[in-house]
Formats: sequence, C-alpha cells, structure tokens
Amino acid sequence: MLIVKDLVAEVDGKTILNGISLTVKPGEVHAIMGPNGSGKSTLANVLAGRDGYEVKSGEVIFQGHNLLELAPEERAREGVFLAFQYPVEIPGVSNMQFLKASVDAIRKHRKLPELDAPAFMKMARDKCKDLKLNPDFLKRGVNEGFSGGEKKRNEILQMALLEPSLCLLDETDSGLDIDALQVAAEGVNALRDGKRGFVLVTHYQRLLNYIVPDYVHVLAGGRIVKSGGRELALELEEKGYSWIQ
Amino acid sequence: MISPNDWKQQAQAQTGQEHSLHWLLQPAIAQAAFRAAELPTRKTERWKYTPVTALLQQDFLQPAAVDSIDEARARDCFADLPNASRIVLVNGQLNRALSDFSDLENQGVITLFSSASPEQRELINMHLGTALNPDKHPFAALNYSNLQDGLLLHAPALQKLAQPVYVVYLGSALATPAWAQTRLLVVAEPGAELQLIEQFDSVGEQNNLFHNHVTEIVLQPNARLQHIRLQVEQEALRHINGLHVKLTRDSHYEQHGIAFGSQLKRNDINVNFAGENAACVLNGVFLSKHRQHIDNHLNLEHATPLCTSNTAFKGFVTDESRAIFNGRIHIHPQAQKTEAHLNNRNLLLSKKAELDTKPELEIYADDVKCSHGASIGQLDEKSLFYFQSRGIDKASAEAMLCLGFVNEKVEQIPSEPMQLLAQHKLGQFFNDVEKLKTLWSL
Ligand SMILES: Nc1ncnc2c1ncn2[C@@H]1O[C@H](COP(=O)(O)OP(=O)(O)OP(=O)(O)O)[C@@H](O)[C@H]1O
Ligand SMILES: [Mg+2]
Repeated sequence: MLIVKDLVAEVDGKTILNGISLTVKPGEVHAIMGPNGSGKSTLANVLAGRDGYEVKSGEVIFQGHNLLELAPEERAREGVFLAFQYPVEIPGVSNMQFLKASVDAIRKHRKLPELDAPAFMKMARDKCKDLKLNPDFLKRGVNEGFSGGEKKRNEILQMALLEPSLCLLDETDSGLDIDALQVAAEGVNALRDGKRGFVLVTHYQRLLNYIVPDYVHVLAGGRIVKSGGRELALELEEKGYSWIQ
Repeated sequence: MISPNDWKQQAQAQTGQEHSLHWLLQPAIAQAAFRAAELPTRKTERWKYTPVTALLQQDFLQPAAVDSIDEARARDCFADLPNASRIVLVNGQLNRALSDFSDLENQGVITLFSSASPEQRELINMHLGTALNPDKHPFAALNYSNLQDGLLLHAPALQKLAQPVYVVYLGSALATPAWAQTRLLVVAEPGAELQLIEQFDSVGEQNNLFHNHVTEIVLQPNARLQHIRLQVEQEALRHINGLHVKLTRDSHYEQHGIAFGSQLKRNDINVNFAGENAACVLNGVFLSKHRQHIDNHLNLEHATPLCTSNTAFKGFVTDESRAIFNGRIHIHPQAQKTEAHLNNRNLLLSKKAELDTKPELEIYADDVKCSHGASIGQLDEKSLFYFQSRGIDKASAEAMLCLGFVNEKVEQIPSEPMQLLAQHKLGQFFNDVEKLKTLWSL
C-alpha cells in the first residue's frame, strides 16, 4: 500500500533523509526505531505533506497515488494519518468542532453522507469511552491545556474516528503512563483489520509488546541501516544502537 | 465637507441651546472644556491615526427626529435574556415599546435624568463627570455639553442585582444626517454587585448617524461590576465611545468587549484607581475588515497603592482595514505595590491592512509588578498543518484558526446568552470575509 523509494529530503539545504526505502503491505505493522535526530519524525512529516521539507529525489507511492504530489489534506482524505509527536494546542476551537470538520471532510471525500451533529456527538463520545477519555475533552479547545498523555490519547481518538488506511504514529507511546499505553495500544489493535498498514515510530520496545510489529527498522543518519523482525527491538533494547552500522 | 473649525463652532452653538435639565452642573463645566478644545487633527497625539474627516462629510449636528423603527427587526438584535431589565434607545432616544425595565425603574435603580427625583438629582450631580476629564476627551466634553437626558443606573448598597441590566443602543436608517448623543451613569453603592450589558447595534443602513456615547462608572468601596460590551453595528456608522471608570477601595471591575470596526470607530477606555485594593480586568477583542477603522485607546491611571489591573486585548485585522491599539499604564509615585499587566495580540491577515499597536508603561513608583507586550502575527503554520493533516482544506483551516483566535475571548464572556449573541454577530461579520465563509457553521 505504501512504497517509499530512495527518498532524499532536505530542510534548509541540510539533507535529513538520505535515501529511505520502505514498503508497507496491507495489514503490516512496521516499527521504526533510531537515535534522536536520525530523521524519524522528518520521514513521518514528509509522508503527511508538511511544508518546509524539500524532496530532492525518490518517490512515494500510496495506493497507486504519487503521494508527494498531493496536498496534505488530500493525503489525509486518501487515508494517510499522522499521529504527531508534539500535537499543537489550538485554543478557541473546540475539539468537537475540530473533529467534526475533519470527519466531515473525510466522509465527503469517501462519498458518505454527512453525519448530523447529534449522531456525530454520539459517535465521538463512544470513542472517548473506548479510549477511557473523559468526554469533557470534546468541549475543550483542541489539546488546550491537555497533559502530554492526554494529547497523545487525543491523537488516537482522531485516528479511531477517521479510520485511515495508513497510520503513522510518531512516538505516540512517549509520555503515556502504563495504563494509558495499554489503552492506546488497544485503540491501535482495534483498527488492525488485516488491511490497514501501520508505521510506529518508537524508542521503546515496551510498546511493541502490545502492538506486535511484523518488521522493525533502525533509522540512523537519515537511512534505514538495519531491518529485522520483532526480535530486533529486543536486541536494540539490550545493546543500544552503537553495534549497528 | 465642512472644516474642523466650522464643525466645532456649529457644535458649540448647539450646546448653547436651552437645556431642560437646569439642575445639572456638568453642562457648564463640559461647555467650557469643549470651548477650549480643538477638534483632533493628525497632529493631536492621541488621535494621530484616526482622522475625524468622516464626521465632516455631512451635517450631523442635530439630534435625530424620533423615528419609527421596525420593531421585529429591532427585537431580532436582542440577546435571549428573558429576565434582564432591558432599556432600548433608538438613535439616542428611549424607546418604551422595545424596553422592559419597569421593575428597576420603580425601585429607583434605573432612572432617566429627566425624571430624576431630588435625591437622584443630587446623586447625579455628585458623580457625573468625576471619572472623566473633559479637557482630555473633547467628544465626551461635547456629549456632556449637550445633555438633554441620560440614564442613571444606581445599584443599591450591599445588594446583588439578580438579573443583568441590558442597555441596547440601536441606530436605525435615518433619512437625514443626525447625531445621537447618549450617556449612562453607573453608580454602585458600597458592596453592590451587578452585571451590566451594553450593546451598540443597528437596524438598516447607518450612513446618516454619528453616535457619540459616554458611559461613566463609579464603583463605591467593595462594589463589583461585570460589564459586557458588544459594539456590533453596521459598518457605515460613525461612533465615538468613551468609557470612564472610577474605582474606589476594594472595588472590582471586569469588562468583556467585542468591537467591530466601522467607517469611524473610536473607543476610549479610561480607568481611574481612586482607592486601595481595587481590581480591574479588561478583556477585549476588536475586528476590522473591508475599509473599516477602529481605534482603541486605553488608559489605566494607577493613582493608589495595592491595586491590580489585567488587560488583554486581541485584534483581528484584514482586508484594507486599519486598527489601532494604544494601551497606557500610568503608575503614579504613590501607587506602590501595584500589579499591572497589559497585552495585545493581533492577527494581521492582509498585506493591505494596517495595525498600530503601542503599549505604554509609565512607572513612577518603585515597588510594582508590571508587564506589557504586543504581538502581530499571521496564522501559525504548525496549526494549519495540523488541520490539513486531518483532511480539512487550507481555506477552512485558516477560517477555523481565525475563529479560534477570536472565540477564545468569546468563551470568557460571563453570560451564555451573550456568548451566543456574540457568536451570531461574529458569524455575520466573518460571512463576507472570503477566507472565513465556510466557517461558523461548525
Ligand atoms: N525545520 C528544521 N530545520 C532545521 N533542522 C531540522 C528541521 N526539522 C528537522 N531538523 C533536523 O533534522 C534532524 C532529524 O529530525 P527529526 O525530528 O526527524 O528526528 P527524530 O528522529 O524524529 O528524533 P527524535 O527521536 O528526537 O524525535 C534533526 O537533526 C533536526 O534538528
Ligand atoms: Mg521525532
């Protein structure tokens, strides 16, 4: 579903991604690990279409589309979802308004009828319950004053509502307490239907106990320097990154 | 077009006319001040960004004839405040049919100057003009020079008014140019507590109206006033508004304002601290679009120790409009242990729009805590991307961010019906800002 080929990207003239290749097939879970600053978030952002990155070469094909040609909102409508490492706070816009606008946009693209406000609110509340989020969150400003863990759970909530086909999770586990980690993992696992693809960026093998990956990749210096099965994560946990390269 | 000098002469001649309220002391004082004043020009520091040419284009210098107004349309402007006492002035004249305040009128809480009892006359004379310096405010001087009538809101000691007092100043489409000069005097006795809502609004085209308004507020020791102000009139209106507040010991004043720009809009907010331990919160948002103009001049005179003020204004400026924010905190030598904070955050969305923001801090006491700041920005790129990454197109994302920016202030309005009204008005305001079309429906 996702084919990344020799992707090279720069920020301000500085090469950050240095020839990344990665193929995600439907139903697969790929974990990406790697030292700080190695380019993991950059990869996720480039895939989601954030401005400010210049793709110098390589290509990204997502479900037959040349992803790099699409605007970020078009990518989202086609089914790409990025759970941010640092979700922004947007005071003044309620979480409910935000979620509704986003679900409306995506349903419209999928040619599904628009949900009326009560139906949407019910759906949103139900999902909150599944994720053990207090429904009061829906009334608050988007991420406004949310704790680190609450922000991450809000990302999972959005993912659950938007039902994307490719989920990119950038350190969604960082900052979650043990229970929340389990809840978030359940949220992710609930979406594993054999068709969706997942790319999990994480620093911790612990997450991978809950969401068992098919592949683990190590990103260093803007390149995938090693790939393996889930046992690679355990090995990394034990030995760190220095032995690779 | 009439010259500033002629305008002043003619306005002065108007003020010299017979007054029905002979007992009032203010007009003589204000007349002297107005005579000595000059109509502001570009060289007048406090008015340098706001030319008054819009006042000189037509002959506004007579009161509006009592006008019939489309009552249904007028009622459409009102907030849903079923239990509030509502006083409605149309083009400056009380409209009894639209008003509903007999309870408070019978209790002597709300009174027209023209029907004031001897005690009330004394009260008015004692307080009117004490929160305002007519030498510094020529239009307020003009207003008090020509005092045909006024509203007194007198909150009794140690009582909390259960329902808000809701004053609506409506303009209607006038056949010929005229001014409306209105004034409200609020005197809150010691320990009184109340909520005042002022709404400046309009029905129909306002091309022929110049509204010159003064609200003067005197809070006695320990009194508390929550003040909500909506200035949401049609954009052709010319409106000069002075708000002058006097805070005595332990009193508490809190304001939440929303103001739209118009052909000429000038808001002076002047707060005088006249007792220890008084507190003032000023929360506002101003918005201008098209070729509108809005000038906010705030002045906080910290003349007594141990007082606090917190001022936070936001500006939303787009198209070819022009907005000004000038916020001055003046801490007098004796005002030790003052805590005063002021900030103004703005969103400037168009290259052709102009915004001048200037916080001024003058501190003559040494033991104080103060801060001030201003910023002018565009929409945050990270936030935009966040919306887009959720499938929301860029135009809607921009719209929602603008809304959020303004709505943060709306959410602070301490009245749900007024929040709803504000959102409704903002919806109308944003409706023809190209970027924001799709928006408020969410
Ligand atoms: N806008 C930018 N301008 C300059 N440098 C940038 C920019 N964005 C990213 N970088 C740099 O690119 C490198 C990769 O950053 P990235 O955020 O992708 O790392 P990461 O692997 O996600 O790290 P972490 O594990 O700490 O989250 C870093 O050195 C970072 O400083
Ligand atoms: Mg990162």
